[in-house]
Amino acid sequence: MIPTDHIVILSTILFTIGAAGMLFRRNAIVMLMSVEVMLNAANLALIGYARAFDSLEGQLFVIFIMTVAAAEVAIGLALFVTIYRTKRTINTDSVDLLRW
Amino acid sequence: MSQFLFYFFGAMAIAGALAMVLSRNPVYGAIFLIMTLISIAGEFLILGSPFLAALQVLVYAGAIMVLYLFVIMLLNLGASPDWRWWRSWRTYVGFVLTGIVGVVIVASIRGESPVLAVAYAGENVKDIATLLFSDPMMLFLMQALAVLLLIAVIGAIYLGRQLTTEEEAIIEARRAAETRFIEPKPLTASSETVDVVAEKNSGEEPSA
Repeated sequence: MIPTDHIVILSTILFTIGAAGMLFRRNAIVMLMSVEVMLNAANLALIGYARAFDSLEGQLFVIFIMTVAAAEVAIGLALFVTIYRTKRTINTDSVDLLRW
Repeated sequence: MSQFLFYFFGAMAIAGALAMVLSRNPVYGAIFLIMTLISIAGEFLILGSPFLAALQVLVYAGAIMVLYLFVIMLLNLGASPDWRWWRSWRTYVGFVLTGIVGVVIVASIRGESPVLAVAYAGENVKDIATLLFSDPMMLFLMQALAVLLLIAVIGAIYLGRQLTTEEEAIIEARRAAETRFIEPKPLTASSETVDVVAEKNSGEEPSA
């Protein structure tokens, strides 16, 4: 029997790695992939708790999160393609039109 | 056995995520991310949700990552030119900040651990479907998700459309303005290098 603590700690580690990648990478696509890691960490925690409480709602929410992630990726990548078309780069340091 | 597999897949997922974040080439990053996602699918399987494991492999490792690779190769990105993760100060700030977040989360878990040792039982897919399509609230949520996906598809198509001539003209004008603004830079740089070369020569001349 795997303790729920360990599942949640694994999920925390994955979330932390994703957040770190989001903070210090400057390639927009890699940043979006870090967001995917964070979403998957949340999914893992939901599954772990669904198992601990023997309920199915957690698994339902994982389906919802997967759908939202798919929509987010479709829009995000389309945005990056558009940005690349105008700026010839997707480095977030050089996309600074809306900077204060 | 399942315990060993849990830790094995966990280590694989963490290694893949780390390699994804630290890899210079986004294509390698995407492939490491596929490794992470498939490991997480293995975790789902061990944790008693085979339906979601299948969904994870199909939707994430299949559809979403193919989209990523497609865009990376479409944009022809290649490796980041001068990115070394250990040289950038952002790396250390990011690690410190996320480390604090991790410590806080672990501490809050340690404070109260709601471990209910309940074995999972039942037919996974059937149960999920029953829950999803019998409760009117969940049915409404499913329809909302369908609308969300439709909106995403329409938005993606709109963003990826062929630009009109007016939009092309605007982009061209902006790019021309930027290059005009940037143009003085190479001049000063070259004059600096000229100065440096002159200094070098003047420094070398007496010795020679």
